[in-house]
Amino acid sequence: MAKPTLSRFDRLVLLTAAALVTAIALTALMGDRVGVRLQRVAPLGENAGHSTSPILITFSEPMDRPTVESRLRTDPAVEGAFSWSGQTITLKPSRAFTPGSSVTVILEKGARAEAGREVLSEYRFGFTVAPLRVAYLFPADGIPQNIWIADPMQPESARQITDSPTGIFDFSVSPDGAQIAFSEMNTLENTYDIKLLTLATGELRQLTNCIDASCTNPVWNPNGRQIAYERVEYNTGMDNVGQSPTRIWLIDLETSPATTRPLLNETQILGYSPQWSADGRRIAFYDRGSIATLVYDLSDGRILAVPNSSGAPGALSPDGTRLAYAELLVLEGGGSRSILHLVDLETGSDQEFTIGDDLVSDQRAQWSPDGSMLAVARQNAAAIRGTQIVLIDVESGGTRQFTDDPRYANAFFWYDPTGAQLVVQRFPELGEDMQPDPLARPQIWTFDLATGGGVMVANNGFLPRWIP
Amino acid sequence: MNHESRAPLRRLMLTLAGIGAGIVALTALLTSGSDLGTLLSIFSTRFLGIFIEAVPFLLLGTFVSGLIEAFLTAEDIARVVPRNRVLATVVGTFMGFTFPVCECGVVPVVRRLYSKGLPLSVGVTFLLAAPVINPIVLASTAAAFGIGEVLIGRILITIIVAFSIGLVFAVAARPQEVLRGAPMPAAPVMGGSGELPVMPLLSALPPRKTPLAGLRDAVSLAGDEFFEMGRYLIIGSMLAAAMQTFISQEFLLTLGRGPIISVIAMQGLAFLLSVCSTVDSFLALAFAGTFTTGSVLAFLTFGPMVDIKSMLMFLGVFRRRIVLYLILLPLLMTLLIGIWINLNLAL
Repeated sequence: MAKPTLSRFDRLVLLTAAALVTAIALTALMGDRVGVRLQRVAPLGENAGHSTSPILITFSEPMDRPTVESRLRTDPAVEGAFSWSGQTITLKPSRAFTPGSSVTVILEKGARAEAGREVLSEYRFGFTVAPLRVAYLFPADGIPQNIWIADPMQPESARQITDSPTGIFDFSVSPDGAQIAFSEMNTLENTYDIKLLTLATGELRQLTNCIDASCTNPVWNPNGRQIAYERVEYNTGMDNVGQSPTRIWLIDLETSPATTRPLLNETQILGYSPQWSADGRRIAFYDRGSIATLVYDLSDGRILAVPNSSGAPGALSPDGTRLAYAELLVLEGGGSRSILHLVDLETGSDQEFTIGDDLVSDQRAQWSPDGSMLAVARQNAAAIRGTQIVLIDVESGGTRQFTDDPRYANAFFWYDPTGAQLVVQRFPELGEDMQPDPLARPQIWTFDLATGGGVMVANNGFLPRWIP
Repeated sequence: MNHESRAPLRRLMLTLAGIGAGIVALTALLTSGSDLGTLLSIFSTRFLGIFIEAVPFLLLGTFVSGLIEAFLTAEDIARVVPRNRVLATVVGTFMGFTFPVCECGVVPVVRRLYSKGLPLSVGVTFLLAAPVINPIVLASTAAAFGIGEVLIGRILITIIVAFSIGLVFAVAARPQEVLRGAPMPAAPVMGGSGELPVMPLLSALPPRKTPLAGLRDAVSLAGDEFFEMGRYLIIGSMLAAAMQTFISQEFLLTLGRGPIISVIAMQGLAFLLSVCSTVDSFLALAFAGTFTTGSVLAFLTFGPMVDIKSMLMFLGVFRRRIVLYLILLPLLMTLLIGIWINLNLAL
């Protein structure tokens, strides 16, 4: 049998193929000179981070997650929770970054992809944390009211960021400080809708479509993916039907466009004044129907009821396990006082927290971000005029009188994300001469909790919120 | 071994291949959890998807082929194609801008151009490059990926691979060992090389036809050629649909995450899917996030050069051995480039 002969062309093709196979083998043997790449990191750069900014890294391919988590750290070191979405890891710090500080994020080499490639060299990126700012509504004595933003260190830098012809009713700042959700009266229908403003770009997006309804009081879930709000149906055009009681609804920001739904399918449960636990797992609100604060666990659907007649939901601790609420107490000789209670939602134990005689009345409490302190609005007629702020150590019960200026009533206040400052809405009931001032308007102040020093950020403003 | 003695061996191999395909199909049927009716339904949907997508381009290609036959003379080819074989191969790389056809339409055009005396290397380069290097495909790639690394990579890799293979043909190939049958050139070989025998008598060429007569001839020729090449398209589409039905694409994709394996997996997927080059960018876009850039580029360059249906159509032009070469060389070249990109470039 004759051997098959190869032509010159066949030989050239086979030689070329052999050369290519050799080149492929050599290329593979020379190894990976690129490795897994970091496609996106955030925050990055000067003032790019907020005190509550999560740290994000997007890899070029799906990763072996534990190998990344064990190699990711920050300087200064922070603890936090890791979460993944596809090829993106998110580190959500358990406590806020100090405003003005520099943070370096370090990913050590060796983090591995599912397919085996590695991050070949240590990767570092950094950012500085932008100073905290305060957002508030202005003017308190006129219309339309719009949202303003001010740097507490430079109150004169205040600037208006919305231009609503009808006025902003209320608002809430997103957990990462990048957006503000606010409710605004619609021009013609006398209804309210919730809108979303992106601070960096000024982009405005309507989130709800409340035809014949009022949608107000947006409150961000700390996970940044949901907003709870209050909805009241007007029921116009329906004979003998008045407007509905308030119910809590949710906006899902992960869908496009954003979608809305009632928080609970059970129509008998009403609710207002929603507030989230820091992990976003629980939401508390007041239900007039059951005369109680209800705490709804979104993870297992469980609802805990904490009866109280104050009409306010109280304050849910950051970890969602405790509730501080005020209970009205009718006094024997007439009149009433408000007593602060602390309920452990895990065990059900209810501890009375207000100490003092009948002249002491605690009205409102606010948890510090780490859950160790409560700031309480207290009236103590025996000691000082006006509602003042006291700080209570939750574990020891130790109390510190924080404000003691009898000219001011300190009504509403919020901790900043670091727990170092309070922003307070206060009203100057008396002037410098200790006489009532008819021209007085609500003011917004920030206070350093360590030094007690205060700065007036705005006069004639109200409803202050921190922008982290 | 003469032709007669090879026939029983060929029959045996075909039988074995048929039995093997049957075993694969049966295994897939038994392990897929789907019944025969469902699989047949999937198969027919996929077959129609591939065939209907490709058939307009085949129609366009055969019509262009008819126009070439009717209006283009060997002299025209001789005038356009440079005599230098390297330059001629370069011309072949960019002929897609003159004949903007995808991989289905390019085969009849090449066949017709060969009959008009186009040098072998120019035809091979055109065959491999035109499905990408044409305005329609470049626009669709830019629409899917934007003007960036993928678009530029697709152009460069296609040019490099097509030009290199064209050079291999220019250096050593002879028409009688490359082209199938003998209907090919009664035409001059200008440019390219001395690959083809020189045309004896230019004066013997028929006179140019009038536009109307030429168009009539073109349509008639296009019809004949459409049905001739159409059988390859049908068989190729059926084969591609069968492979898609019985070989799990998910399995291929789960394999393909590493810098080397991902390129092979995407080449396999490109061969298997047989998607037309005018739309394959949008399919590749879905892989861009999770697959390596080198593998996506391999998908976008190897697929338009060679896939199941075009492989079958090549058999209408080239000898089987040459078809094998036309699969092997682009496969190895795009594999090498894809792996090199993955391991050396941070794209």
